[in-house]
Amino acid sequence: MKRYIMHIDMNSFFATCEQQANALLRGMPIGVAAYAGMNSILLAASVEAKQKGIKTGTSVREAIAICQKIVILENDPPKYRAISEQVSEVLSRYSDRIEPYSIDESFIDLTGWVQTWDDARKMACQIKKHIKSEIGEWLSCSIGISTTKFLAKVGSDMKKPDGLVIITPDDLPKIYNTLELTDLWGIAHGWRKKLSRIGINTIRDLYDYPLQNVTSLFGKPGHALYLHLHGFDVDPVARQPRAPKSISHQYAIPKKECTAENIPKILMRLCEKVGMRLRSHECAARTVFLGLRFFERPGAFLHTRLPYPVRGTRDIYQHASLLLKGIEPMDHIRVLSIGVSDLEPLTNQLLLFNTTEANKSTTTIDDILDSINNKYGGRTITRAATLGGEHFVPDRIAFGK
Amino acid sequence: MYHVFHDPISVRASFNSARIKITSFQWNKRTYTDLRTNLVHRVRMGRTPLLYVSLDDGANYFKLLFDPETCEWWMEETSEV
Repeated sequence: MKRYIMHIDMNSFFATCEQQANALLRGMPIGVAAYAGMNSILLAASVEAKQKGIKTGTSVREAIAICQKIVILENDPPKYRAISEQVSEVLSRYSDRIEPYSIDESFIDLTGWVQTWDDARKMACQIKKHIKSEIGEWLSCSIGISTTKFLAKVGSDMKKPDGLVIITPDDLPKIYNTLELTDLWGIAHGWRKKLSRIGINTIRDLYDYPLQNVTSLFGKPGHALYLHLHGFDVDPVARQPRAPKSISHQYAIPKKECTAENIPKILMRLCEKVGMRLRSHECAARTVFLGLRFFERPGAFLHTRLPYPVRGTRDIYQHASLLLKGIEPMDHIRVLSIGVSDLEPLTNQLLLFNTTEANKSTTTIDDILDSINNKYGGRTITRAATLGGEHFVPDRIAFGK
Repeated sequence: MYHVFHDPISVRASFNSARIKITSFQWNKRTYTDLRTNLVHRVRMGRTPLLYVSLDDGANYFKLLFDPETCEWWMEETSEV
């Protein structure tokens, strides 16, 4: 059966959301920063700013040096989430198989919903029209349509902003002549270097390289890359959101906040966020990890594998605190991240050799705190350990997937 | 430059299924008319779906907040050209 997969990528999403909300900013170069300050980085640059050479990841200082007229705004995650939900609602009218890839990207399986490439093109035009008429006229998206997720993503990246590219099986491998290796989904500079060492400098070189050789040199990822490139569908559109493999939060600590007194509060805030997400997925974790970056020395990554799964905030905090113990001086920590992995579904299995009662009691308290916060919003009720640190670890949207 | 507030305001608005149109509002002893609604988005504060309406009058940008539980409107943010 011929497959029709669509990839939709909202252009300069955070920046266009701001221009949609404030029409006076339209046509102007704007940047959305993580926080106010010259050292902050841009999470998104508007199309006009990109035309001047300002990219996502540029520091505010650099962006102003490139274009003095750039308007810098602080990010507004609830607004972007709300608009993303509205876009998802529009997409849900066109297929029952939608896989959100990030806040501004989704894959849609149109197989069975369209019969020809022309039908798919018409549907893409309709989606663009509905987004503009129902959510906001300034919002634009690039759409790629092909037979696999990989090729659809390549297509949507080919024409920005407001593009629509269809890659049919007949276009392969001709279409690769117009692209660079790093234009492919999943190939960044690291991969390019590795491929360059064996004489692969273009997509056509990689396309013509024997499968056995790619697999023996690069293992499973090399095998997958070969199949993607030749248009084999090895990664179908997921009907349900995939279960997370790990859950983590990090906080880049401003210098003035970085004191030995504040670190435990920040740690608790991070553990609260990790714990709440862990419990919302109805999972427990067997590994707790801690990532550290310092102002003047190399970072560290520490983890502990637990003999029993945990899901309570206090349990995560206790294990993270043990990992943090011995790190001196604490006021040199620049970035602190906490996470849990080795997730497993929640069971009611009682443990024979553990302080079950203690775990049970903290988990019950966590469930009650979660339900209060879910009902009344934000941090209606919180642990005393974080008092005075309400402004630590604000709401953010992570980069990428 | 955005100015942030949380001032109660009087608003004349029409609600039509999913759409909201603000005709005018009063704030700081001034009435603003000829408004263009640019974006309406919902943000959940717990179970309460708060409604944010972004609009402009050609010279100023405004972000209003509507609390459907209390039916109160608030001025949240403004900026000028």
